[in-house]
Amino acid sequence: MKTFRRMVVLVAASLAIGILFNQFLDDGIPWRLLVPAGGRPPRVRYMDVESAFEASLHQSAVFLDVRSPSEFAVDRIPGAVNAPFGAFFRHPSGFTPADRTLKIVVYDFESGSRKARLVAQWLVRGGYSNTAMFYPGLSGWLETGKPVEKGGAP
Amino acid sequence: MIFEDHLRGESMQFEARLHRSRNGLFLKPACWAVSLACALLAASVRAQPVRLISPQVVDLGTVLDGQSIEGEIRFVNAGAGPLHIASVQSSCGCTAVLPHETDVSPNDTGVVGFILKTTGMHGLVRKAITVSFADPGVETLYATIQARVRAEIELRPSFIVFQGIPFKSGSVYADTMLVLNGSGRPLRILRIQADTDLIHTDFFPASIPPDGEARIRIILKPKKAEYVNATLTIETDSPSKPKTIAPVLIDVTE
Repeated sequence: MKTFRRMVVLVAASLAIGILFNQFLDDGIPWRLLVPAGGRPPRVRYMDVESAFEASLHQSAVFLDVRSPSEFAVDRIPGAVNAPFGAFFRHPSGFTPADRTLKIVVYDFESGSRKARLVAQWLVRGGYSNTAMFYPGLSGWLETGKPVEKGGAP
Repeated sequence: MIFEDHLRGESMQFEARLHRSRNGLFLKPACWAVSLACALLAASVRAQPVRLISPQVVDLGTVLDGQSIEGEIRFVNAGAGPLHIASVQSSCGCTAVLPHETDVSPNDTGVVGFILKTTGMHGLVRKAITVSFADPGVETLYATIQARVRAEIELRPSFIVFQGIPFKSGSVYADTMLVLNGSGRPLRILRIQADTDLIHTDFFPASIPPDGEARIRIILKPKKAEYVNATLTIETDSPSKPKTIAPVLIDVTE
């Protein structure tokens, strides 16, 4: 019984340390995602390359890039804002516009990125109902030869 | 006389003060400029002792899914002292990274070898490599490797979206997806399955010639206003990739 209790305490302590440690990592699982949101999945719309290109061209949407600053510095959709996944969930208000009616397009490098989906879902839950996920990601954007913006300190 | 001496004394003190003041006024900006230059020099020396020789994005060209690509990231130690590589990391478990030598002398080239395994990847793939140094004053080095992975089976588009559709009883919506055979041999589509009964396809088992394509019609029959993240699984006789999954977003409104 004593051994079992010790084991439970050890597992609980390891879990707590793990969760705490995660909060300090750029790519760690933010505590906000550890708490189940419940309810129906929020309606996140998908966006294809051509619609995203139109939105970028006419500056009719805010593009959120969930990659790390060093990846963001390599290239990005013109005018995109860097919202690194971990940093976004630590301080979401620092990356979101005050106007909740604005069109927000979230993207990652990979097509169908889970990170981009989670950020988009969080925004929809937070009242940014005009949020879309750019499903093909920057890889799809580059493959179709769309222009990118380069540079910027990581 | 005493008064004149006093005046001379006052004047000398004033001259001395003026001299100190002038020199001070003159010296201060000079001191500031020198200090600033030194600080900038020190900062630049500390900030950029490492220079990447390889391009920031190392393009590895086009490869077939499953192939491993080997390469190197090269940098030069442009600082005055030796560099010690503390850690080398990649953004993905699919990329193994190893420095050839952990110590790099001034003006020498450091080499970090990598192997990228492309199993299960398709399209443009990018992975980041990070090189950290023991000296905290030396900036971490970021390099990116990229490759275009040609999968045996490619879907165009890679996802299907039925969104913003108003619900009408008995209505039917359809979209088309192409299955491209890049395997270099005939490929047989065995089955296409959806994880929801809202969608079905008009496809029957068929063979796709090398570099050929098959057209699949995806049909949606909404039952009510709902939001569903569905998937379509395409099963083929490809030994390396028997299943290919296509996401299908269904967003039917009132």
